[in-house]
Amino acid sequence: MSKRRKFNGLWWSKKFFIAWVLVALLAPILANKKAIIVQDESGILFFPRVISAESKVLLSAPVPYDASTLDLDNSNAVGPFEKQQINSIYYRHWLGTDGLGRDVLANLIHGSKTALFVGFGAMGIAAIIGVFLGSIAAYYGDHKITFSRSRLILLIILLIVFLTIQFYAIPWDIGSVDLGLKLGLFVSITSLFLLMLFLINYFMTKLEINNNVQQKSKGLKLPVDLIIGRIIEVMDALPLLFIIIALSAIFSPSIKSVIVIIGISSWAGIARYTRAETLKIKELEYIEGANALGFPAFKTIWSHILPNAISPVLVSLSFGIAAAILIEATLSFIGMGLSTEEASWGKLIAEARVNYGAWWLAIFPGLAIFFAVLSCNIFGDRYLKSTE
Amino acid sequence: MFGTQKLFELNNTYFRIAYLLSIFLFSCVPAEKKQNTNEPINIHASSDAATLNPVAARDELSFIISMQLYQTLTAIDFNTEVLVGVIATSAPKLSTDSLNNLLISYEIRPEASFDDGTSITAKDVAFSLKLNVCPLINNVGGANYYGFIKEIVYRESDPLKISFKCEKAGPIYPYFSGDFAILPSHIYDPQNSLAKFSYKALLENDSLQYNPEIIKYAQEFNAEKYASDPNFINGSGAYQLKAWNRNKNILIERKKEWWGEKLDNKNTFFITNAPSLNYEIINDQTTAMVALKSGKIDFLRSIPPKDYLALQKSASSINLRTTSINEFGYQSIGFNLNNPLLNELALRKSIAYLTPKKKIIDKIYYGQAIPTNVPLSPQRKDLIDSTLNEYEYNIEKSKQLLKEANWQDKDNNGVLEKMIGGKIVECKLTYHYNSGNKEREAVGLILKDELKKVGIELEVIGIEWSVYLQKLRAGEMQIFFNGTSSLPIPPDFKSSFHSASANGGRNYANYKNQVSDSLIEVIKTSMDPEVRKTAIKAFQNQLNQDLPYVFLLTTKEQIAYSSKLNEVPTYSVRPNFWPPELSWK
Amino acid sequence: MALYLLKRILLFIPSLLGLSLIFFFLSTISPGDPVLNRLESSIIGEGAASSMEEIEQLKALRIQLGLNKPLFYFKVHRKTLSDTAYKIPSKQLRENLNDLSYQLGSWELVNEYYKHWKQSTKKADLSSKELVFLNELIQISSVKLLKEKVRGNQSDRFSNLEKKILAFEAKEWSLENYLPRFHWNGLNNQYHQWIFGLFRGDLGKSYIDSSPVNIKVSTALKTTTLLSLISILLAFLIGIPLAIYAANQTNSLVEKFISTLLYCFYALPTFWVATLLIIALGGGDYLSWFPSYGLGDTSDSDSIWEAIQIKTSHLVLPIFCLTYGSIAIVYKQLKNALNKELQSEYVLTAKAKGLSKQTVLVRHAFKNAAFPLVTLAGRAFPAIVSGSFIVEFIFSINGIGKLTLDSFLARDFPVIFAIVMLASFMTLLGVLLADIIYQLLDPRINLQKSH
Repeated sequence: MSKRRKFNGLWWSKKFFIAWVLVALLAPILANKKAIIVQDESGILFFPRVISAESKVLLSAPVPYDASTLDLDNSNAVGPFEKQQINSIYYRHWLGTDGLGRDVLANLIHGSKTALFVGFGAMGIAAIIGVFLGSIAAYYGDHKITFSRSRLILLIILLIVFLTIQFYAIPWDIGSVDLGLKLGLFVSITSLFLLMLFLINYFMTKLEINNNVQQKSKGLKLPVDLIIGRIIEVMDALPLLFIIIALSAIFSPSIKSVIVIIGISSWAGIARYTRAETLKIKELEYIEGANALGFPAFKTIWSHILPNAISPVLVSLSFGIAAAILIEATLSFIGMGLSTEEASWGKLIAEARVNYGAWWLAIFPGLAIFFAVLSCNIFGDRYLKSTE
Repeated sequence: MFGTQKLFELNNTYFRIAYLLSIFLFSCVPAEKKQNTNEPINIHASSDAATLNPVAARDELSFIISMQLYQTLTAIDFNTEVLVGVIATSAPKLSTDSLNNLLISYEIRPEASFDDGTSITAKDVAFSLKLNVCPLINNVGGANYYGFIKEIVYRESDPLKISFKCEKAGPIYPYFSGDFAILPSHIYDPQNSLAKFSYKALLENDSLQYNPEIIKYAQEFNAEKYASDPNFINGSGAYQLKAWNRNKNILIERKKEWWGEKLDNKNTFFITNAPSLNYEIINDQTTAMVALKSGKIDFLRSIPPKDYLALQKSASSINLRTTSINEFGYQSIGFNLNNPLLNELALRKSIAYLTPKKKIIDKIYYGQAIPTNVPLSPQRKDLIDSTLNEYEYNIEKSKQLLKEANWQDKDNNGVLEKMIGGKIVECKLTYHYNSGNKEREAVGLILKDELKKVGIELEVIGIEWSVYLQKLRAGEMQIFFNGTSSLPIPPDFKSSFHSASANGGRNYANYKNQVSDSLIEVIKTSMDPEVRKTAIKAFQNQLNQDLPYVFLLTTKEQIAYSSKLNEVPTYSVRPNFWPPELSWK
Repeated sequence: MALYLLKRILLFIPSLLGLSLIFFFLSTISPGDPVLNRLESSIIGEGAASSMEEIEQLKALRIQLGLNKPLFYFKVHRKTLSDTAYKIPSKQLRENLNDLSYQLGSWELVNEYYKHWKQSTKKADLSSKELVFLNELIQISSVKLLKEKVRGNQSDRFSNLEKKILAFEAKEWSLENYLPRFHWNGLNNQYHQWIFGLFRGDLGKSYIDSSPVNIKVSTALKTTTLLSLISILLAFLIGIPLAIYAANQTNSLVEKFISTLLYCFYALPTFWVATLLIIALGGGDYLSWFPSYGLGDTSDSDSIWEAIQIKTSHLVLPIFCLTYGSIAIVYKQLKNALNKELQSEYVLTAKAKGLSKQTVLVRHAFKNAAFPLVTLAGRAFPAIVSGSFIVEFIFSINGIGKLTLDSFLARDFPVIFAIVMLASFMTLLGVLLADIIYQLLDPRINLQKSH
């Protein structure tokens, strides 16, 4: 009995998830004010920009509204069962409208796109940062990277020169200088720096080999783990919403900014997971063997450690997607994050606060968020159980 | 009960506590209290006052409450909209001296006194005005505002008479010169620190900001206690601060003994019906509405038009009364003329013809607004030229204008193009509003729909208030929404339309026109109402031709209050009601 | 142990300093100007101020708020940039002048030009045409256009200024533009004043209303602490017995029901639940069971019982919204841990000895399974602040969350800094405390090694 029930949960979340992805990807076909396929004298057109009077509409969207289409005849939040001012049943607002006559169904459809992109986009960014930092911290630890003193001094000098040039010589703040020139300068200076770094490294190694310097025993240790640990600690120490609100004050509102903001502020958990996993795997014999054989560090991390550390990361990813969707909805709810014409489930619920008789503005998007978050959580739990 | 019996078998104290707590919590529904006529009347305020130090008060709630704690020489009577005396016996008398300086003379009421019984004298008035121009004192923009006064004239032997000498004449000076709060100099400045400096020196001598005595005094006067401590707030007003819980409420109470009560001939500013007023701060409009319905607050204004109409229907059944009144001010859509596209008059005109004022008023403001096409409140019928082009919605005219200006959609992508400076430019514009303002957002979306019909693409962008302000000043916007509220005083268009205020000032449209500039100067300086009237009408015509703004409408203020209160008189002048006039039935 | 504690506490310092630097940096690059914000909130806007008069007002305000000081201890910048540029009150002006100095390859020339310009604006009896000329002049950020403008001017009252401009020569390329310059600002800078104020316990003044930040933050903190304490306590009080019950009765119908319900709770967005509750129960169009905003005012005349009643009725909805999600977390963590413990050997032995499952659960298994809860409690603070933020927003409660949002929107940086530092310090402390309690509970754990 119990097993079947649990199985059902997973089955339903899979079904929901597929439906969600389909709706999100097909959003422009499902809800669009304009006709999708049109025939005119020049032939058949898909998604035409201008529709002339002579052309024939072959296919139009099932929901004839965009997310931001105003239907002022049905403004002031008309409910799904109320009488609507429409020409034909085709134009009916099946889930009602909001205060400005925007169609709730169209907003739900386009909102699912936003939720999907934010969830996966943000977690993609977070995963890249988190896995990179976490694996490096664990693999190198506090003792593995050492520098001979001369090498360190050279490196620091180079770094300072590079940073000063990068931030103060390139006229980022000068409006009259072309952006292309600024970027060109940036790229050329960076590549020059990398070239210098490579050359210095090459000659120093040669020099040290010639002089028979035992660089491993002498020199200074770079406490990679300690430094990255501090960064993770700082990220953990701040309530997530602080960072997100602070960052949304800097970025201009758009879905891209939301993805970046959530991505760069929620990688700490993934980094911690990856670090712990990598530490475990590092102790395994075959990794030590690979080390002894002198495999390059990145190759070892990439081809041996990460594939094994990936499943716990996937667990925190699926929970992370759920969290990202919630954060996006919350931000939209308080009127931050997205631009005016981007649809979001959170925005619909915010409309419900202004039109308080309109239950349809709260119930439908609320359920959409609930099921999206629930299905991601169920996937996460499944993964968690399978890894244990 | 049987279900819980089973749970108790767990023998777990946690459970008992949780169970008891839940019973306790759900049994606590707030008890209704009986109405007592001495109870404070709860008035909604949407954001907290910044300070109750009248010199520093700049935001609306600070101003409203300051008006009840302190008094000014004169004030504009809400009802008659003319200047009346408060501490002064009447509106000031104007005269010119031999050097053609304007003299504004006040006579102080002999009865007027502070709470400790000291009479209000010219010394206090001079002290209070000095505070407003003194460097380092928290008096944002005071030196600019009162800078037209060059000298204070009074004699110790005649302490009830005081005049202000101005170099230039201006019709608004009599209004400005009496609108600062009068503070008791013997309490706020017992050492007579400010008396050592002349008014002229404080106003004009920049180096005084390094004077140690000024630094010391400014520090003392700016102190938090004068801004919020009931024991240190000393005004001659009818009310007294009782308590201020930041971001929660401000409670003021009628004084037991007050000089104004003994007066025979009382104007609005001597009415003290309310025994005690509690300004309840609720930032969120939705929450405030719920609080009104459940009787937590008794008076709510700035209700969104839609909620107001819904409330009107059900008002009597939930013991509420509603009323609305035309506000003083206007809302407009501005064009940044520094933008190469919008600099073209034909484009501005065609956008004006596409602005559906009627639709905006009906659908967004639910009929709670009056259309306008001048930068003046519709109440001032005598000043408004009724022959102006109203730019009534006309899509054909708009198309024709664009065609004449060579805007064409040659590549058939739905957006017009034109050759400007050797480059093909598409007609794509942006509309900015401060996010969170539903009406402004809706105006943008409606405008977007309309402009699309002729091939102009408009992007509607909401940005945070502080960024909005910055962009507005820096001229980084193209089309924007702008709201202005004004007072029933002689209009002054200098800050919004003069070219000296462009590029960084409040002339957000960056409108520069020499004819307008000279008209604005006449309106600002002429003392002859007829000359001003002609100039104002000519100025309106100029604006109507140049179209730096499309003037849209003037909103109504929607008010609802508990029917336990007597009928509340409402006024066009902000704050649209006079709190001391509220009273329990 | 003492050495370990000292090390951990010392490690707080770089974390907190790093944080303070990050937020300070963010504050300098975020768009929006707190000073402009305050000037604009003034309702005497119609006071006939021209652009230049407004610049003077901005300057006065900046001095009052201490924003006329340099930002940081030192500044490294392009050699052609003025090191006193921060004294220019308007951001736009600063950018224009920077542009000019870049084109000229020298900031001294621009500095002189700006000085002359300022003197010209202070001349008595400027006609409005002359004012317009000066105003437009300073807006120009290109040397070429500047010269054109000067040549087109008829008035001869600014000959000094005009000579300066006509002597300008724009350079195509100048090496100086690519050289850095280091400038030491001394201790009288904004960051120093603020961070040392923090050590002295003086957090400065709010940009919005010049009121002390200490008072603002401490009042808000009291409210949020009340909310979070109650909700953490409730989450544990309800979550723990439920988890024990569930572990005891695995696979029973009731357990299934509780598990599913709590699982769903966890996925319910707080702001949605809060919105629904306030509409349905807050006295709007439907039921009027609970007050919908604030935490309730109690006056001195109220009896204690009345005061408690008022407070509780206000607390019910917000506390519910804060708590329902956390109950699910506590429940899940503890249940999983208990189920693991129940499979361990000593439990099986104890059971074999004849102890009832319930006794074993409460006496033995719970002790060992409680570890994740300790961590949870340690990390609860940031979670609660994040959570309470939306609840405070919806229920109009003046706690830390709402204060943070308002301060961010108004760019009230002194308040934001204070809150950020406070929140992060408390979190770090919470984690440390959790680790210590961990060790006290179970001496087998060696913190020094595991960390």
